[in-house]
Amino acid sequence: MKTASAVVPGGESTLPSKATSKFKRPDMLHIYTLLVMAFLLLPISAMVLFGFNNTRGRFNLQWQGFTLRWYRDVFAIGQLTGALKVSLFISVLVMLTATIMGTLMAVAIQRYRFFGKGIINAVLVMNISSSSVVIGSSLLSLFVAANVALGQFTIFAAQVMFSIPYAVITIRARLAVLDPVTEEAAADLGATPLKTFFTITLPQLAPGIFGAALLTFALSIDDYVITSFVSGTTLTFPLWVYGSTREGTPPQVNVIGTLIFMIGLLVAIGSGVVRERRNRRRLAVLSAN
Amino acid sequence: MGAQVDVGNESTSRVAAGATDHDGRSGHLALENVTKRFSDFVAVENLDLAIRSGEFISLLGPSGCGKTTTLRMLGGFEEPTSGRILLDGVEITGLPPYRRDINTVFQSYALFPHLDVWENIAYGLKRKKIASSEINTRAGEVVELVGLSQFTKRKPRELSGGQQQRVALARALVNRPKVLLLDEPLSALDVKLRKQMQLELKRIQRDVGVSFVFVTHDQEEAMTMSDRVAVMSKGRLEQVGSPQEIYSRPETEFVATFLGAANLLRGTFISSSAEFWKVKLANSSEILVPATGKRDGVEVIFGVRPEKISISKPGERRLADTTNRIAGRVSQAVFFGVASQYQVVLTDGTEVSVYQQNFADGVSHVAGEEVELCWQADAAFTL
Ligand SMILES: Nc1ncnc2c1ncn2[C@@H]1O[C@H](COP(=O)(O)OP(=O)(O)O)[C@@H](O)[C@H]1O
Ligand SMILES: [Mg+2]
Repeated sequence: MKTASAVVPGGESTLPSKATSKFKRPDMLHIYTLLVMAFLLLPISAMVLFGFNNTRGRFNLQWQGFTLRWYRDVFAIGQLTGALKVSLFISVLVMLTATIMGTLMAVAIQRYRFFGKGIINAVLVMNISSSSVVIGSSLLSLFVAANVALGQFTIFAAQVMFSIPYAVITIRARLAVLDPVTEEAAADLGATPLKTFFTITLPQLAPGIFGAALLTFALSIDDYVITSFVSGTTLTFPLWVYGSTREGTPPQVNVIGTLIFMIGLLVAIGSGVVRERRNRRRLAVLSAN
Repeated sequence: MGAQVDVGNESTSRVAAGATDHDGRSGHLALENVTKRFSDFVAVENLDLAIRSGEFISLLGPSGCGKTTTLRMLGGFEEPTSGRILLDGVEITGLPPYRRDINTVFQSYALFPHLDVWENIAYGLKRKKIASSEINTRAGEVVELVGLSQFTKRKPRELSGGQQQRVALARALVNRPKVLLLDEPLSALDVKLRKQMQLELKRIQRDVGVSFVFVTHDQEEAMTMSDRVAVMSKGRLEQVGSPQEIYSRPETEFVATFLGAANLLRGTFISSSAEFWKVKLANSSEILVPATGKRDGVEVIFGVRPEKISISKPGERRLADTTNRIAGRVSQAVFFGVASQYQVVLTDGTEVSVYQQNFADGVSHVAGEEVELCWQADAAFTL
């Protein structure tokens, strides 16, 4: 590790000077980039900011001073907290189900040839490209026709359905860069297909699976359109927020939104740091050889 | 590198003892009339090959001739369309890879990227439910054998190509397979490292006594490393034999030309003695060729390698009666330093190429010069 720390700073010593020389003369590209970033960050900033707004009335639209009140009282609105709990519960289940099913489907599609593979591929793409409103309304007809009581189960089923294609695509992307010969090597060394899957394929897929889990969780906790058709009387977080807009959305919604955003940000930064560390270690070790 | 090799030598005796004590004569692998078709493309056709216990045999042939496919059938990754594969007399044709006492060093190494060197090497032993104390001893032995002791905690991507190659070898050898399959294991290395690994691989094979089936398209590599070479072309086995046999006594035109330069000549059969046939060339000179080839009717095809022909001024040499002599004219002389290559045109227009050591400065004969070519009758081969 001594060599690692000695090599890395030396190896990257050219970077800072390059960066400063670029910042000396801001050109159009830099200005353009900053504008786009500002455009993207604006709504998020507004969300975060108004979570600290010391608002008195029903509407949280005008800046009235800074407060941490809403953070203290974040769970003060019973219905909102309830809806959030329902959302978290469903989203965790959807994440687990869609990720597991997506992983298995991705492996099947990427690794095996079987009857109906083309159809499955087509259905996955169609699923992503179809209109949410149409899917939602037809799912509603389906559930009603099949006499399935609307509620948490139908929300779960609908969300799993629309999340799976995203999970499959994320994991297939990872599978595609995986060396399939490592699986043959495992078999060569005495591993049964099941053992190979758990000791060789799955660990190498981990980053893809992790990504798919994040994505399906985010899709699920955020979904409004499809969920609204199949929810019956159940309220999820997005449904409750949408319903609240008429009588004024409480600042707690901004707080919860901010917290969800922060968690996502931390996960992204965390995985970036892990990757960076691994790359540095590898570079250090290789150049020390 | 030198230090690593020394460390390896010290431990090899222990590994060798372990490899042979379960069965001194195992590792006999036989392909019986094996054919592999991919839809309507025949990749391997009616292959019959017996691999002897403890030998180093190469499958040699140009790219696409079916070497990898043959190896994959031995490893259990492809099922033969027809034919049988036997290991120590027991049929293994339908067995999956994980139930064969055979291990493979893959062309791309196929190391497990998420496991470190030690875990890669121990992987096979863990699958066999071997006690962890024994895993430690055995993995420790092969790690030393291939000179990777300092690298056991590294991930594969933190190793150089040569080191990765050693991990792949150690990972396979630690299982003490009856046969080790190697698919062009050195092709990714640069020339210098490749030469070094050739010697080391050969040493390791001798030490552990496991049968090695080594795939390569490099004839020099096959010749320097192997006890026997099996030459393949277009899915068929052309010839099997020791490097000297296939070089000096090729049985087909393909083998003759694939293993090095060869002058292939035609003549008509005149008469035969015990050892030789007398053959008349198109320019009506009569020569002797070994009476070993197949002969349809009167046409005889034979070959002489360029380094076996000596070139001299006409009438300069006194000759034994088993020496062939033909006249020609030098059309081109190319200086290579240690030797020169001469293109000589015979009176009937046939071109013959000759290598000769440079006894003096520069070439000994120049273009346009009339010369005499001589070779021992038994230095040629008849197809
Ligand atoms: N899975 C496969 N499907 C179809 N053709 C294949 C397959 N594997 C190999 N082949 C064909 O079989 C021939 C022999 O291939 P291979 O054994 O890899 O040759 P080599 O290793 O000697 O270069 C090639 O023409 C190759 O295209
Ligand atoms: Mg090959």
